[in-house]
Amino acid sequence: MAVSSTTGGLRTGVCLSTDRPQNPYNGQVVYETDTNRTLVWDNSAWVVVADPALVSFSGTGATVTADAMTVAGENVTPYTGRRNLLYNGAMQVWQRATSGTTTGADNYKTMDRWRNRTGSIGQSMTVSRQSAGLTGFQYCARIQRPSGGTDTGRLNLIQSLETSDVVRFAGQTVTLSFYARKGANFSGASNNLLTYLITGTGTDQYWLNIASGGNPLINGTTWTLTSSWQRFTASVFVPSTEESMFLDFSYDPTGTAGADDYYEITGIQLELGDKATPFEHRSYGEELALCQRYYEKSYDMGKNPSPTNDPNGSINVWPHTTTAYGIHIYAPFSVRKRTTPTVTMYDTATGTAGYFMETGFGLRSGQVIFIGETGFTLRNSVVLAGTGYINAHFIASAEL
Amino acid sequence: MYQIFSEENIGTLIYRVSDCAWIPPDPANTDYQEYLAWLEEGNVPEEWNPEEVI
Repeated sequence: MAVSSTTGGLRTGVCLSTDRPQNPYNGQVVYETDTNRTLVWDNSAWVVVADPALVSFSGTGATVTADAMTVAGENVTPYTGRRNLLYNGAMQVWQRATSGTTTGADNYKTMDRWRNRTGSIGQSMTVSRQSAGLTGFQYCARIQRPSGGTDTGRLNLIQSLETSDVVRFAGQTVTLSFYARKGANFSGASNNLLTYLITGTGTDQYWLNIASGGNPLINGTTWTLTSSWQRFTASVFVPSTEESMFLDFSYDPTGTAGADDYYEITGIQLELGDKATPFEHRSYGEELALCQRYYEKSYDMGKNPSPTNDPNGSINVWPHTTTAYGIHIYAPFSVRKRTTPTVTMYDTATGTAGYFMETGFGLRSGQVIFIGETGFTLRNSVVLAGTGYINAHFIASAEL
Repeated sequence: MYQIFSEENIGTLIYRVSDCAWIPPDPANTDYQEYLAWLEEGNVPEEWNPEEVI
């Protein structure tokens, strides 16, 4: 039933979308019973001010029912951050080295926050930084079985998250997304890349502790790789009790490795919600600072620990005593660490671990004491010659 | 293989021989967790001796 127009006061009426008031006044409001929309007359046209087909409200809050939210015509849904809860997902930060080979071990050798592990004793895997060749991404990581290798143990790439990050996922659906492609001689069974997302209880757990008795939310899901980049996604629900988590990409090589027995990966994102949104890019400086919570070096970024003849950026002091244990030098970290880190010092001349340099003499034995989240103290443990400066570089690791 | 050094005002320092790393006795440090596991296997660390180095 149409509402009669009037010239005074705010009056709201009901109508059909096909039978609105013929002579509305400026500001008149109507509710359409067939569309459930509310409209207002702006003195020239009807303007929709509420449409439940796009936005609805319930006792639990508002829901945007369209696939995207727009502001002034621009889709803003992919730009609302902070969404990616992983570290170094675009493979931007490589403090340790831009290429390295792990043999029969479980360690951090190359890109920040990503652990390498080989499945067999004596087996090798090489992780290297490569140009991505993918729009929007500068780098990818290449995970490779060295040419001629015959070990067929599983090769893992793992990121562990600390509890303060994991609790944000608890009791919610999360979505993993990443880009991957294979090399010409990729030997993974059926061209498959496997993914595991495993959670558990306990604070800041080492990944093997989580794997033992953990909750495999993604349990060896296989993705068939091609030579072209593909984006893969998976959504899972994280139980509310979970406190620890690790993500694992792996493949099971077969036969003898060819020259290009590898896969490449980048754009790894883990976010709340059941849809993969575009990858959330962070600036290099921001990503570096996030990674330095777990690992830091005093060397310039392009220098892998430990080069020779490199005093730049080192701890440096001209001591006024030569007494053993008499010189204490405090070295602060750039970023507070996750926990008190393990610290290794290197002399600046030969890059030998465990020593500092006394210029004019040579390598000197020292100790790292009073290690805290924000720094440590270096001291000499032998009598010095008093010939010159003390120089030392360091690395500090608080990885999971 | 580990070595330890103790001093009243410093406490106990743990030295990992394989990479010359100093490990703080912090339960949240994963290297310290590995050291504790190494002790549980029955291993015993040596005393850190500066005379063995330069």
